[in-house]
Amino acid sequence: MPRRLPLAPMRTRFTWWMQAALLVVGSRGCTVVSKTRFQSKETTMGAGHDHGKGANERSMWIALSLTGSFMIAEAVGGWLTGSLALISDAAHMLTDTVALAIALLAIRIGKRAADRRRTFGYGRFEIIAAAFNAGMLFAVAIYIFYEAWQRFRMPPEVQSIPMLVIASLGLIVNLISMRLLSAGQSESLNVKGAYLEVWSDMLGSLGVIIGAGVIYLTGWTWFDPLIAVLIAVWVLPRTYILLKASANVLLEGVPEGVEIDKIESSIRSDADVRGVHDLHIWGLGSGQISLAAHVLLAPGVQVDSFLRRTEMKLKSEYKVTHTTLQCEFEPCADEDICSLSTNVHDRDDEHDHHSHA
Amino acid sequence: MDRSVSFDLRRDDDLPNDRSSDVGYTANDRRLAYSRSFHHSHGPRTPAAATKPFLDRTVSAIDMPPEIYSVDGDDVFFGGGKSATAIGRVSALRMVFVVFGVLRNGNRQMKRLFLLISLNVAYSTTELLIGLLTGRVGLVSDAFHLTFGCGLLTFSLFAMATSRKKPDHAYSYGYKRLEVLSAFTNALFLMFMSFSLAVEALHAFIQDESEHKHYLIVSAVTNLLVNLLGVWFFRNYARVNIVYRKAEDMNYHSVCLHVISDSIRSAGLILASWLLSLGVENAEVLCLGLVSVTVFMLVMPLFKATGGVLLQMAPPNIPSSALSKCLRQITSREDVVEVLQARFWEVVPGHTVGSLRIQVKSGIDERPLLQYVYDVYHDLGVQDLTLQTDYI
Repeated sequence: MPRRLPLAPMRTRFTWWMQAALLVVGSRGCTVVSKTRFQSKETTMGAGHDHGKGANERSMWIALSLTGSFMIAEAVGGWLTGSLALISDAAHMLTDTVALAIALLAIRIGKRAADRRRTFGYGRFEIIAAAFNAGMLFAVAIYIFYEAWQRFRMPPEVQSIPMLVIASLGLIVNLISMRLLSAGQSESLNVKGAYLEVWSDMLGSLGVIIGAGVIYLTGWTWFDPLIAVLIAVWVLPRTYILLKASANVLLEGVPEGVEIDKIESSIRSDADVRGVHDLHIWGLGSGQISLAAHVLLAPGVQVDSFLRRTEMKLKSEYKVTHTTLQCEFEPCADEDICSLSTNVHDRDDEHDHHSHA
Repeated sequence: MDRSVSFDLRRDDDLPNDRSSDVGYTANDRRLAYSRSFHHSHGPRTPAAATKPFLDRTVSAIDMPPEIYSVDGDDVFFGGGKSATAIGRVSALRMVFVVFGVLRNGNRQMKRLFLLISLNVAYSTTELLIGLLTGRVGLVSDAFHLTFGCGLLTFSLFAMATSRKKPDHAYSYGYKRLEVLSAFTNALFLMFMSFSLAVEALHAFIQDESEHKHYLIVSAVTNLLVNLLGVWFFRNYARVNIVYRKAEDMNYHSVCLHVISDSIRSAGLILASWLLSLGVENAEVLCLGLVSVTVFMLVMPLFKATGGVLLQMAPPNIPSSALSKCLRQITSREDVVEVLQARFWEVVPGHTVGSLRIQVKSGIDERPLLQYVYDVYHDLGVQDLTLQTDYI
């Protein structure tokens, strides 16, 4: 009985089409829109922060080629020998390959420079790829439950030795990929998503081998679906965490580990600052944090040095990489929606602070 | 009431998305967007605000015209700490509170959605039980598919409920963006459904034997009826291309497309069974393929729009020509050296945020400049603007 036959083909087909959809959505911008005409010193998302990115991409390429070639070898072998087991295992590897390919695609797209319609560049694609991988994993886990139920009703046949050998080879390939990806998974959600996919596949292979061994030794055919269920249960929490993290970024939430109150008091602690309002902090994806705020300064302050100081402080202490600080010398009429209202602020000249229309 | 669902399948290039009209500011385009959206709704029923005056050019986008899709009057603030949950802090008790909160405080659309979800849940549970008891795999898989859909609709409902919360220390822009995310998830699910239907059609085509699944007519008909009820509830959003003015628009649109797609799918299954009984060959392939293509084309605009908002793309309702015009205006001022950075994105449709960095000559008074820049972008409809002035 082939290993997880109904499972694999379903996964592969829809992920392939999903990748195509992602490609279509993502590539539309670059063909149509021209770069900005005005002199912009805006650099691409990836350029300034590229230290880890190159290594990530490289290791992913290696993992991708490893998995891909193994899959092709299995597919060819399966087609030649007519072994359903080999083909199903190849399909299994295909899901890994596709997950890695999606992650890589997101990295490549993310490197594109920002343009007029995508003023933040393409970095968010990585987050969507991570969320997509997590969602796929979640759906797969649910499907494993469903399939385990089916296996309970109709116990599968015992695995053959060659099938086990192939499963162990696949396990080795997965372990190598995991090793390659584990370095980058802390810094990039995208890599984490691909890593999670490979990790769950590794668990699956391991489970198959162990299950086959146990069934061979004891004849408990219910062990195989039990292991599958256990693996699914193990994978789900980490999938959930990844989903939550990517949802947090997509929803412009304050990044995890960042305390907005602390940052506000840190800005306020500067001697020149009289007030801070309209403070917004959000993550741009892959560890880059953005901050925008209106700062009320004491009169006569050197804006330049204040800006430099604050930017340095925010970057070094809180890892806030993009800051936009609007410096004001007059309190706004309405602190909540400063300059938002349709009332025109009547700004007197520089030395008369306190009269508003 | 017999207004059929208008499947506006032709590509709507007339939307202000890609128009680079140098005629004027977006106010013009907004007006045109209005008139165009009215012309699209060919049918006996036109939105209530058809006769209202168009946007005046001097009125900023903040004074949004009355909601043309409004069906409900009771937009009660849903909240209180008791019933609103932050994302991640989920517990069964909170869910119960959310349910009660929806029933009591939710607006009409939320209550309708809740009714829809409960109907779906009841239906899929019965289908699952029957399938498990009788051992029919087809029923069970259909029940699973329905449950997935229900889960997504519940997420939409949760998004509607949570989006009323005020911004707090965890989400500095508030929770409205959750509606966009839920719309995106719905759209993604529908795309996936479309592809899996295409795969099923292919499968049936390749198999080409008597493994024709005799889809249970009863199940399909019930499904169709429930979903048609949902379409009726959300009939204002039963269009392919909608100009999104608020966050809820996207969410309601996605729910509507969800029920439409489900009803198309059920109708397709019924049609396939009927054709099979008539003896038409490959009826399955035809019907499934047709359904798949239709759903894909229905969902694509929503998918792209929500994806664009989530990816922080420039707001589609502000043409790039208007943006560059503003930049030219700013740089033409004598105290401005250059614009270092200009970024615009939408938190939710209708709420645009911008951040600018400009380099100015040292020693100037930046307050008039600040005011000028704010006015320039105010006209465009940028609500939140943060402007940083770097002195040389």
